[in-house]
Amino acid sequence: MREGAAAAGLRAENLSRIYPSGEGTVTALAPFTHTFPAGLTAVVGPSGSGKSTLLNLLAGFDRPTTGRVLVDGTDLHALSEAGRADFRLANYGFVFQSHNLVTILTALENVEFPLTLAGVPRKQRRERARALLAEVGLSARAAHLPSQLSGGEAQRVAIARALAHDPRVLLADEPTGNLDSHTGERVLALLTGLTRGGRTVVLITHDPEVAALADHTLRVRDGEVTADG
Amino acid sequence: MGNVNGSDVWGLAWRGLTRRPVRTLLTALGITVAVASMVVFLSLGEGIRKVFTAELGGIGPDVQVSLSGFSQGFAPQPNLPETAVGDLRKLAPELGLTAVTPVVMAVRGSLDVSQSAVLYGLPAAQGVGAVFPRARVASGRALTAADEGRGVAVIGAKAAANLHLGLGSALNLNRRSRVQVVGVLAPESGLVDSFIFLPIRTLQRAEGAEGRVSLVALKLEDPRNARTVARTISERLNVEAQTQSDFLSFVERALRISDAVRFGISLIALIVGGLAVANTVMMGVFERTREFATLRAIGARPSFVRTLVLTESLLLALVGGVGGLVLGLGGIAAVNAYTQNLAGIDAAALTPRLTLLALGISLLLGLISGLLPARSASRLQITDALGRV
Ligand SMILES: Nc1ncnc2c1ncn2[C@@H]1O[C@H](COP(=O)(O)OP(=O)(O)OP(=O)(O)O)[C@@H](O)[C@H]1O
Ligand SMILES: [Mg+2]
Repeated sequence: MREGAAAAGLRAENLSRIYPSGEGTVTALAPFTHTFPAGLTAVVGPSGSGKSTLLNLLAGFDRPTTGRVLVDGTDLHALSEAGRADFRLANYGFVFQSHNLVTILTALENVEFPLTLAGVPRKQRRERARALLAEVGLSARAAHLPSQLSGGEAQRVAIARALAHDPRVLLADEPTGNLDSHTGERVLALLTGLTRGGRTVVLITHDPEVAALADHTLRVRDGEVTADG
Repeated sequence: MGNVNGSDVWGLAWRGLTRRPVRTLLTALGITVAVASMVVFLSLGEGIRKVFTAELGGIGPDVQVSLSGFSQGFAPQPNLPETAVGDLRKLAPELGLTAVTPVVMAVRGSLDVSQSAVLYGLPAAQGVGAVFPRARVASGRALTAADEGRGVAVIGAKAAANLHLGLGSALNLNRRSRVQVVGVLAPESGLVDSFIFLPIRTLQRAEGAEGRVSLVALKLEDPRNARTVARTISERLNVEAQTQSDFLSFVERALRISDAVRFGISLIALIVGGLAVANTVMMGVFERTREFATLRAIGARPSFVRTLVLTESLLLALVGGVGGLVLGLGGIAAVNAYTQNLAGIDAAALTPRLTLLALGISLLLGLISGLLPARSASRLQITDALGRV
């Protein structure tokens, strides 16, 4: 709020993560500052370079060694554990590589789950969840449990869930990593469509073809982050 | 926990439990058996309380005089000198006593409980009605003054059935003495049903207790004076005089102690059941670590996860507890069928307070068992639990 123009959107300031390892330390992420613009940012880099570490910090799953994460001016890591949970619920959507869904809930219930957490009345959240499932083309699978869905279907349900409360920021860690290329394309098409309305989508990927679809690219190598494009 | 609706949490907890229906069912069964055993054990005390308040509250003597009070139990030894009867009769006008009835009690023991009976000797001239005014003769005749010292008996309906006695049957009091049944009382659904009434001299002789009685039953003009009268008698004569409420509080004290013992026994079952719940809930948490991490990632607070796990534990224990009440009812019915047959009483009863206790204990069990799993679930680190794929 005090930050003026810099306050808008998702911003990493002097952000780093150093893990203790044996007698020494591992710099999983060296300090870097970056403002994520609206639109799709692809985070690319070889395995073990620090991509997931970056995403965990942006999401508030992990604490940074230095620096901070600002979302519309709010310092994510200055919040309490519960406060951060509430903040995620209100501002973030997530899609992981796999096992995204709550196994005891149907596809529809999974999609409405963020709204359940927010205390939205059942009828209202059902309606919204149905609309979102329709958007990802899975109306026919509403009553299926995650174990009864294919990998691609599960990812599409996860995307629908990530959109349940229309979040500012969408974080995805290799959402197509476990999918064949055809199914992956379908999921990607959905994700690239989500940048409308000034939403910030951060997508971690190994795949250069996927990265080519992005508006911006962030390269990570041995924990060093560089922006291009 | 945030804004989540309570009903949504219960629904989620239910889903969590029914995910592994067999394991959940077996665990609930553990609680069911534990709670049922507690219910049956404690219902015995409740039933006996009811019997005593209903029975003796209505028809017992207003004041009962004996040498050493109730501490000896229900049927005191005949150790009170019969001279006390005369002393009490002398006090009768002053204290407003309308009836002074000496009583000798003895237990006709047997290895087979159903063959045991209480022998109750009282002056034949005064008859059974002197102490139990509701007693009615169903067949044969009542005791009369002419029966004093003779070998005759009037018996309760239950005693007749259990000992296979009818009018004219012979009954051995012990090896030396036998009497003949001259009357059978109508069933009263009470303790009296299993009593055998004898002329006092007959029983004194049989027990070798000539000149001594177990107690003296007093009826008062105004039963509200019972406490004052009892105190006066205790002070003037070297005896214990007690009122009905003294007797009831004695019974209550004895029942409390036996409640504690019986609860202690069922506590073992309850603890084992609680450990089973803790184990099941903990396993559920371990198996769903990843899932809980996903919930936390999406935006569930740690307290939501804690509440969810605790609710699962409570729900599991509650289901087991309700099952335990139902099973316990069956057990109580079985106990009562047995004691009805034996003594004409319902020894066991499921009272509202026992129902509440059983449910309360179940919930407490669920709460305690759930604390540790809930804590570990709420503390999991999202990054660790989401893990590498
Ligand atoms: N909890 C941890 N403790 C110690 N070192 C860790 C921990 N988590 C990650 N690392 C290390 O940090 C580095 C970056 O890991 P990270 O998971 O961010 O890589 P990544 O770019 O996501 O790789 P991948 O493409 O294989 O998923 C790796 O060297 C990893 O071994
Ligand atoms: Mg990774």
